[in-house]
Amino acid sequence: MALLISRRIFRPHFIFRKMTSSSESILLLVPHVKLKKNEGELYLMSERLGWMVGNKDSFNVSHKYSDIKTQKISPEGKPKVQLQVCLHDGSATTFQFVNPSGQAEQMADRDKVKDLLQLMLPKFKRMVNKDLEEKKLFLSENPQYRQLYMDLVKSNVISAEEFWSDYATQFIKQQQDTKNATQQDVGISASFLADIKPQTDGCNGGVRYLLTSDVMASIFRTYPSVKQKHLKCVPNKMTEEEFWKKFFSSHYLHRDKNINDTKDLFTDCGKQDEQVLRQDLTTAINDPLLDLTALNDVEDETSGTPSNAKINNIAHQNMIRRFNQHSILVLKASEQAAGAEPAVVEAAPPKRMRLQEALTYDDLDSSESNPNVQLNLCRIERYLNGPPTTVPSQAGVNRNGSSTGLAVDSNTFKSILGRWMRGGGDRYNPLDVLSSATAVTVLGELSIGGSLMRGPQPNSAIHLTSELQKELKELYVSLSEILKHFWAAFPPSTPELVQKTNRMIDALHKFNQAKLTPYEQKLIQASTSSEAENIIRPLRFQLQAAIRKHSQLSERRPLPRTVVSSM
Amino acid sequence: MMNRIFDSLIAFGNAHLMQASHNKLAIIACNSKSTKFLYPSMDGTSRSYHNRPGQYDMFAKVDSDVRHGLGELILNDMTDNDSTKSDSLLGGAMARALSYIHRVQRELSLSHQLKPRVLVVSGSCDSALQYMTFMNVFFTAQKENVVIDCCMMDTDSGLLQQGCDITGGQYLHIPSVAGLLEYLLWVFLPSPSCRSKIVLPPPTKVDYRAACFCHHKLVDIGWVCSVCLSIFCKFSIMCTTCNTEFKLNRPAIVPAKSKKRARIE
Repeated sequence: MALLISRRIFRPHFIFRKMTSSSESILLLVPHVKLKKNEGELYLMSERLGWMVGNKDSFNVSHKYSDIKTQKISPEGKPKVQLQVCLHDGSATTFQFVNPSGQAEQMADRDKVKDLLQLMLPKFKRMVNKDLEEKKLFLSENPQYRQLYMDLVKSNVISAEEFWSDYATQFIKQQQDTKNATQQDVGISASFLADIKPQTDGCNGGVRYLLTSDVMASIFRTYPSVKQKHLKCVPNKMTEEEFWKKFFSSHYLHRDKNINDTKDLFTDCGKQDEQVLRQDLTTAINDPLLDLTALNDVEDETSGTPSNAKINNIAHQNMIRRFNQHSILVLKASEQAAGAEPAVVEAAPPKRMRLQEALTYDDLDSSESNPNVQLNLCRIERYLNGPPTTVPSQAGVNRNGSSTGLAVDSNTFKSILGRWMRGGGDRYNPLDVLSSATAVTVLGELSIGGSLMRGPQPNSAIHLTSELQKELKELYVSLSEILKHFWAAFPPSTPELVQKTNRMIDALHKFNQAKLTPYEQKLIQASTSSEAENIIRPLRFQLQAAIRKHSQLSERRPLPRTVVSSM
Repeated sequence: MMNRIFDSLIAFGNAHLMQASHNKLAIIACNSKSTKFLYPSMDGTSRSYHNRPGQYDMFAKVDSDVRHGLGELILNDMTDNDSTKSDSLLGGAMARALSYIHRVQRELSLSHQLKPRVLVVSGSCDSALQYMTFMNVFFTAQKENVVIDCCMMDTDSGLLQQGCDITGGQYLHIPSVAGLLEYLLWVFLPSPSCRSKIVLPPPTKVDYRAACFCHHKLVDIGWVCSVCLSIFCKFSIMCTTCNTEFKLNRPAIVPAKSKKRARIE
């Protein structure tokens, strides 16, 4: 018995020594923790947590805090007291607390573990690389960039940094746009009162209103006089609940309010509002071009100026009053948002500037006329006639005479011509114009394969399917991208640029093998080989030009000199 | 031979009129001194023409007008001896043709728009002095959607090739003049809109290279003055047309290796 006790006491010491030898300090040790039906002990150290079966030396299961994403606990009422640890890669480990002294003890154990984990986890929380996430989002939004990325970076033609350094400007611009968009304050939704949703209380016909602090804040912003009342009355004269009951039942809120009803708490709110409105009309809005009193529905027909005619209908009057108050609050809010201090001194120049702005359009103004410089030419005929053609003019004139020979003298010529002039009509013989043998010869020349029909036909028989077309477009785009990097490294003055050109040439060779040749095979299957060659020819031409230039340069580059010591 | 050519042209014109009743025809002839509308004749005299029995009157009119006009043109020209030394006024004739097309289009109502085209039948070479005229004509035709076709009888003409290429027309160089009518009917009678469905002689590769001003040789890549746009084949410090001076920053080539060699030696 004594031996057994001593052994049990010894064991934790033994383990403690082992842990200290491996330079980890145990923060918490919880015995009686089951994992997958095996009982053991749960250890929480400074950098990880581990679980081990009673009589072993090393941990069966250990997780670093940085790998752990979250922890979960089982709800209160369940018989089993468990704690689950979820990792970043999706797997989870469940520990069950089985302290033999009872459920309360188990829960106490579990809470201890949970609290410690809550302390430790945030320190080690792995910062998901935010940059990487954003880049992934960017690529998913722009399919053409994703395609380029796939073609080039995946096949290691171009490194990722080069790719992002080219397109970083657009990427950064996109990020900035999203940031700038979120700078405005959020206003009150126009229908917030309607959202409160009175619920009829079944028993005595009253209504229930659900008020959250957001709703109350909105009410205070919409009706500033209510806010003042609230400050005065609550909590001195009445409780919140009573205040709000009175508010909702008052006629102030409902449309058909009657200012003359003195029983209500909120009637003087109406009067106050009226006064504030009159004051605001003249002073609050600082816009010199805005005249609020000029707006009037009813115009006096006899005079042109708007008159403040009395509107007889009280309900209309009330409604218009409410609209006016709402609008003036909106105007005031927009002035505040602009952040402008109302400065009376500066009222005049802004007005002029604004009028000027409204009057002139910059686009329509004539652009500055270029100063005319006289063009002084010393050989004007060059300017007027343009570049000379290579055929000199003298040789051309007598050509049509040369085939028939200049032997015909003028009199014979005149008689021939005269005869021809009289030749129409009855003396006309069509076969003089075109004999059938000549016509057949000409037809032979003009038929397919004839002497005049040699050369590439503009309407060739090849029809590319849409997939082949799409692939061709992608080939062009990727090849242009590689070539852009290649030619951008010219002239290769530093060793890095030389390296880069070499890499690009390898990339081009790889591209040729991996992408161009299979595509050409596909084309040859789709049509004839000459047509396929014609289509591929521009791509190959660009490739060859780059390769040729590179080989030229590498020949010219001096080979590393070996120092020969002369004795 | 000459008769045959003229008869072929008249037959071709009548064939065009025969295609559709709304087709119109105009024939212009030019020599080194003038250009003249053969049909519709601008004389104003109504000439009597004898038509063959059963011949459409319009064809007979075309026939007689062309014969008369062309004969007059040639006979008037023969009296002057040094007219063969200068170039034919083809540029002017084409310009007149374009103006005529423009006028006819304006006279017609919007519902009867023409699809105009110009056929140039020529046997003479390019004229160096008329380069600008030709270019203006071609660009105007391109703007007005007028197709310029060309049938060359003896020689090739680079300028007309360029014009056909720009306006989308057909250029044909005929090996033998005997079959001129057949060539005309086969290649040039169909309108441009249905030429895409017909197999025609393929377009030749047009040489768009300009000649340099100093040596008159064709250049692909050259030096151009930024003030007067004249083309040179090699760099010179001053432009000969407008006397502007050029400065060029060439990268200094440092002879480093020769220095090292000198030191070791």
